[in-house]
Amino acid sequence: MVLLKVGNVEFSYGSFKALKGVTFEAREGEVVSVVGPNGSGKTTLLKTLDGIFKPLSGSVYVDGKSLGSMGRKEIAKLFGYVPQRLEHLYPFTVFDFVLSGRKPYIAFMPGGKDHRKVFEVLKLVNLEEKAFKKITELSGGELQRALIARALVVEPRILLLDEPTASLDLYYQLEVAELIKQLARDRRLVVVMALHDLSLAYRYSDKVVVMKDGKVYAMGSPEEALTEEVIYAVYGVRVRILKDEKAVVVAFNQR
Amino acid sequence: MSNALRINVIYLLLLTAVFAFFLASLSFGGFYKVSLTDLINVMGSRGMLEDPLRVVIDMRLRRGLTSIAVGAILGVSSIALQNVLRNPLASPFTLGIQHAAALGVGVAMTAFGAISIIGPRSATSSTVVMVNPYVVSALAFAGATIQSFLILFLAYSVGLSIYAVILASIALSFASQAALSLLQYLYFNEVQVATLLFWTFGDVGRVSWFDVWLLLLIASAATILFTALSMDLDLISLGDEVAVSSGVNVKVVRFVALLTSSLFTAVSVSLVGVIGFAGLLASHAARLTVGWNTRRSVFAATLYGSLIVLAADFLGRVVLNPVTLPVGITTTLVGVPLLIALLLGGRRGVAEGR
Repeated sequence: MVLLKVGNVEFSYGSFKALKGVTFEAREGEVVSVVGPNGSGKTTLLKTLDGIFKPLSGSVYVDGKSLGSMGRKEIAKLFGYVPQRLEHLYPFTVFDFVLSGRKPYIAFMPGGKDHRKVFEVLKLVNLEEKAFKKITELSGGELQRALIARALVVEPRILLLDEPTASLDLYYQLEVAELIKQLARDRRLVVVMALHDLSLAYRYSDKVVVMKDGKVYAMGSPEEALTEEVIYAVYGVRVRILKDEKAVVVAFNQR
Repeated sequence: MSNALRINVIYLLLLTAVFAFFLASLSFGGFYKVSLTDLINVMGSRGMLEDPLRVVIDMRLRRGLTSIAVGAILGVSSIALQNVLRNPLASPFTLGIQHAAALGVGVAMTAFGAISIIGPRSATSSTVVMVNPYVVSALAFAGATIQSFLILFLAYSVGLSIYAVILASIALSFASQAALSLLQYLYFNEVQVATLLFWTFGDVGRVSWFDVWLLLLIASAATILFTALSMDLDLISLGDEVAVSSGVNVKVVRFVALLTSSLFTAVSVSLVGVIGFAGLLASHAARLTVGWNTRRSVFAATLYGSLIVLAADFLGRVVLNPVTLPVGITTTLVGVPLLIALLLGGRRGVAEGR
């Protein structure tokens, strides 16, 4: 079932057009990777999906309903957003940090149900023992998992992630990517993530959206969208696709 | 959940300490010692207002309750400011909001004759009477609000770092103080100068019962408001976009928090003067002991603030008895080392990010 539909979305920062007629859709349980060079509109697209930015024209639909017709709280219950990084880290406990994600459901004070949900998602991302540690004391991989838990605790139908693996070492990159894939499958979520790592996109996505200058340049299954030609056209870099390893490798000879 | 138990024990200890200092400040400090039985007798009996003991108790009750209220106001305002500005060094004092409010009071004294002095013509024994308390509070509020939004502008539109914001605020507070000095130099007579000086030291001993109730009311309102907003404040401290994506109306919450903490600070300054560092001290004591969860730290900061101002006032009355030190001097002497420690510790501790 198609859950998320992005229809001809345009957005600009002042006179700079950041998104030009972006259109795609995603089914429940699908992982969609958005790739493209810096400034191609990946983060802007995620923020527009989440309703943080309002599109100038076009619309984002969830289950056939336009975001424009929803209140902020309603949108907040549908989407879990994992930012690229936090602007500022006060030493909250992991528990309180994740609990803050329940905000759309909490009018005045969090109750027993909210606490249970927090432990549930902490278990899911394997951070139970760290519940009362400070987030400032977590490793990069743990912090990323805490951020994902924070996004999941609202029980969203769509999970948005901005560069979830950017600050992680190899081991945690795979761990987080596996976790995301498994969440999409088990919880029937639509996952939309912006990625720099083309191999991860190739390996873990059901659909890849390749962006260039605010437009969708190519789209489809990883094999269809991530070809050597597309990548050269978008990044200006020659690569080899290793089909067996499901990897995208930068070619040694760039001529 | 031993964590919850630990926090409840901390609340209980704090409440006990506040109560103990409150009783102590009723009994000691100054010429009269009041025993507990005296206290119960006088409180229980009606009439006999001319009883000197009753007068002493009445005065000290006002002092104690004012300390509790003002400490709470400054403590919770500091927490709110630290979250909406994402600056762990923020407080009504370090951001110069109290100084700006003091300048407002100076302007009220000069331009509107809103404060006059009654009693013997000497600064220590005379009483400051507000001819028009609304003008004083309104101008204090105007000064505080202008300063708050100037800081917001510096932090967000200019994009200064947390340290630069504090430095800019300190610079601005020098400007406020210089303007106040200029007013004194040009327009004040010597008694007014002395009165204003005493008042800028911060003194909880000169308020009427009406003011006491007003301060207590504001302290309760501030605690309730920031408790109600605690989750929004938690989220704003993580970043505007994170907060928006969790359904918080960031602009409204930030505006409300800045405006109300300016108002609360302005009222406290117009009644008791500038009490430096009490808010910063209270907020960090709260963060250290109950953590950074806003709901818990607001409540703890209320108690720590009350405790700090009560204790500072008590010490100020006991140490050089019978001379009474203004409470603002005591809190500042304790607060300066803390600010320096925070600035140094910021390199690896609370103030990272941004």
